[in-house]
Amino acid sequence: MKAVKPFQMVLLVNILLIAFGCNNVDKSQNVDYFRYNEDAGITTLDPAYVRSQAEIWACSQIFEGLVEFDSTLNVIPCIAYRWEISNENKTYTFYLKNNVYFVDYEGNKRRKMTAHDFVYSFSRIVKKETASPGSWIFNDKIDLNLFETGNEQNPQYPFRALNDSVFVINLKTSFAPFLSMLANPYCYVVMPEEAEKQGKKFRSKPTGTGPFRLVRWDEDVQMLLNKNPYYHEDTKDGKLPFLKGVLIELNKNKQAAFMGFISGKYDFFNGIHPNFKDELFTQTGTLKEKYQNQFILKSTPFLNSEFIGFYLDDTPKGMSKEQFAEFRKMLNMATNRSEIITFLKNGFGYPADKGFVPYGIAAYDSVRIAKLSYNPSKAEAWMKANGFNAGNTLKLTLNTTADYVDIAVLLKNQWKKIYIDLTIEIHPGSFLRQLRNQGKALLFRASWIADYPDPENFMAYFYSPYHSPNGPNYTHYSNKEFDKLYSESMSETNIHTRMKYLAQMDSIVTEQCPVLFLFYDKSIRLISKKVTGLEANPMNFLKLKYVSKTK
Amino acid sequence: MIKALASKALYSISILWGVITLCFILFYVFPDAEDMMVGQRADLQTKQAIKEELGLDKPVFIRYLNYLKQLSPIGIFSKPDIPKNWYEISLSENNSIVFKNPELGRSYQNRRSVVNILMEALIGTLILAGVAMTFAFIIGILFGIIAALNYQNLIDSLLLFLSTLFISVPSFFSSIIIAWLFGFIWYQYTGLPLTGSLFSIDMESGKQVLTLSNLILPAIALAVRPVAVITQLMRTSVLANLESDYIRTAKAKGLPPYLIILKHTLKNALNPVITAASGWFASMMAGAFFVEYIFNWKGLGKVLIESVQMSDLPVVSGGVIYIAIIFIIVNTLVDLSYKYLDPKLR
Repeated sequence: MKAVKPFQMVLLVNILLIAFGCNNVDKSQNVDYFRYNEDAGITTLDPAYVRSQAEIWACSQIFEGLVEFDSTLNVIPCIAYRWEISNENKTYTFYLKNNVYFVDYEGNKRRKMTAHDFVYSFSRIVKKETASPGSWIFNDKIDLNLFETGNEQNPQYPFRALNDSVFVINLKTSFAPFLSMLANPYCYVVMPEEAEKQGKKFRSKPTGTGPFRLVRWDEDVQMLLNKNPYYHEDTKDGKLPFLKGVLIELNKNKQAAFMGFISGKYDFFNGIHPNFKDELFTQTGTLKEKYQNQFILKSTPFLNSEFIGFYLDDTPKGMSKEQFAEFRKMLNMATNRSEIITFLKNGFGYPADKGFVPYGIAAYDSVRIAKLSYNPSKAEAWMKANGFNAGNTLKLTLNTTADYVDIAVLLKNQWKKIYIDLTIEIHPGSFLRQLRNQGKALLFRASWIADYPDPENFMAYFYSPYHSPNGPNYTHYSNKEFDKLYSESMSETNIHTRMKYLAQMDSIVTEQCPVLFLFYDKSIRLISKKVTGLEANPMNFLKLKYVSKTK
Repeated sequence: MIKALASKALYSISILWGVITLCFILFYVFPDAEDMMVGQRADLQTKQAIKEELGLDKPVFIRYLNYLKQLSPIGIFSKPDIPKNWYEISLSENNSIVFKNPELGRSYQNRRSVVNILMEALIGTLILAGVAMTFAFIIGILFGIIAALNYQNLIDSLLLFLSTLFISVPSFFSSIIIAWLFGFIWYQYTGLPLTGSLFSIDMESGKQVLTLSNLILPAIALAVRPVAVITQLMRTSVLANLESDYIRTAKAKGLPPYLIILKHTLKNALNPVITAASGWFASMMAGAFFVEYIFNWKGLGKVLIESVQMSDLPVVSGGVIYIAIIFIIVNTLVDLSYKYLDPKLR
């Protein structure tokens, strides 16, 4: 037999590859699996390191905490079946269910979860060696000196397990929204022995008590989660979760992901993108007729406030601090927010004319007092009075990311009428963050998504002790009255009075305009008609344990 | 020869050192890298803890030395810092000289080893480029022969037009068109997925399975330009060979046309094509960057583009160093082969 030459061999192999490739069967249509694409990518499944919504979604299928939210953001039991708050709101005692199990990465071993696991998990977040981006949750709320002693026998020690099923948290000062913070992924319980054994690899070999467990994760490609057979919850319809598993594609190409969704590859699509919103929705925000047989649109207010921040330690060229303060108000008056919602968001969103806190927190919506007016003629008159006109425009630079260019262009056109010549500078997200953090951007586009559903979380953005880099106050806004109200609201136990404090703070911010208020977002979910049990919610969390699919 | 090798090695190391230093200046002296690893609400304590974990709290010179130490395959380390998988020779009670694989640090985004990230991705790129190149050779040679045999008639004009069109289309554009047509519009006929990598997860078993169908569209997209180049080269080469005396002799001997083409013309016409087209492999690797990104093919290009977008500096600088090493090795081999082949250069 004649020897095969290398070139012929390569040729043969390629032909075989392509021939067999064509016969590959696509098994991704399995009906018991929920499939979605995550275009933001997932970098970790370790709850100590999650930072983005994408990571929170995946993590919250594998792990869970003491409490969780229902779809209207009420705090409801999860691993804790009840709790008590005592000692002037400084001591939280949680009573834990006794049928909660950790399932190991292999899926064949289980271990009963106890209160000691919560002590380990919470301590892990606080410990400096962990370098968790979530340590802010506890850093200013617990006594760190006491924590350093490691003496759990001390009744004031921050995290204590009284026995296997009673867990106590001691705060140094009361913090009204603390309970809702405990639903945050940083407060999920992890299996101590696995976290220690895996070390840095725990990010890809997670062990939790959630409704699903990780089966396989091909980094940057796909992730498969399977049902946790030992999950502790059930409903009248049966044991949770209903799905056999979840397949997450990690395709960062938004356009390709959208095409995949349209062709039925995915069961769910979150949010709208300027490039394809008009393909899906009418100008008034309803789903186009051609897609109505395929998908259901679910939308609700989303706790996300979109705005343009002003760096207040600086001023536009030739403007005094006082003029800048007035100018910010005028700019807010000259901005037609309704146009953004109508023309760019297809009706998905609300003009941000009622302060910084978005819609979606029921207790707050009834006490709002802040109000912004649209009055471009007044703004124009002020600009003229301060020497600006068609021949002498004010030159400003707006720093933004590519996703918001459409809004920037609309603002440029609106502001032209009040003699502002706006330059739009587009940066990658990380670079924009650098500019903002270093105070090198006088105007920067930003958004604030609630870490927990409380107006305090939004007001923290303006609290002066949180001036960056100490915290999230990137505008460097300072107001003594605001700070006083903020401190008082933290120790206020009556929710109605506390909401009133927060409304007053929101009103002060709206009056002084350290930001240009743009719009309050909406959570938009397109869901395949085969899927039931998946709702939209104001925190935009993804709860898949109640979801089921039909053929 | 040994002297030439030694001087070349020294020269290459100095270039590599320059690249590494430049990478350090460009990427590692970037301020506030810890900001990329925190969420919106992070406080100073959190940022400080992350800085310490990454060693970013140390002076720049110390960080530079640590960076070189991490990259160097040989170094002196204190004994408690030496992992088990490093080979060590004890120097004193506290220190050892160690031999290790060069390290590029950990990703800011996912804290994985940069070497692992890049090696996983490099395999994907090599497979994609290899298959695309083979595909380009087969189609290009076939088209070239057909065009030459139909010299100056309709088929020749059509193939020339197509090859001119293909050579003018940038790979990112051809990728979008191919993905849209074959992976979306005609999906029901082709069954080819819009995006995907070499391996996917089988939901039933949870195991990784080879998914060759994902390779077809990106390989075609990447092969479009080389097909055009090879077609034109092959056409010219076959035409030149068809005029040769030995072909005239073969025809005079009464050999059938297909035998003349396969046995005589093809063999001789291929040589210049292979030589010229080999150079396209390097440019194909560059084209692969966009193709990988559009088809979500896990390769070096996709990893680097995404790392740039997320300012994952260790991965970006690692990628630059990888590419520099590949270029240094190739250039060194080329230089040495010239010296070997051309006595005048010795």
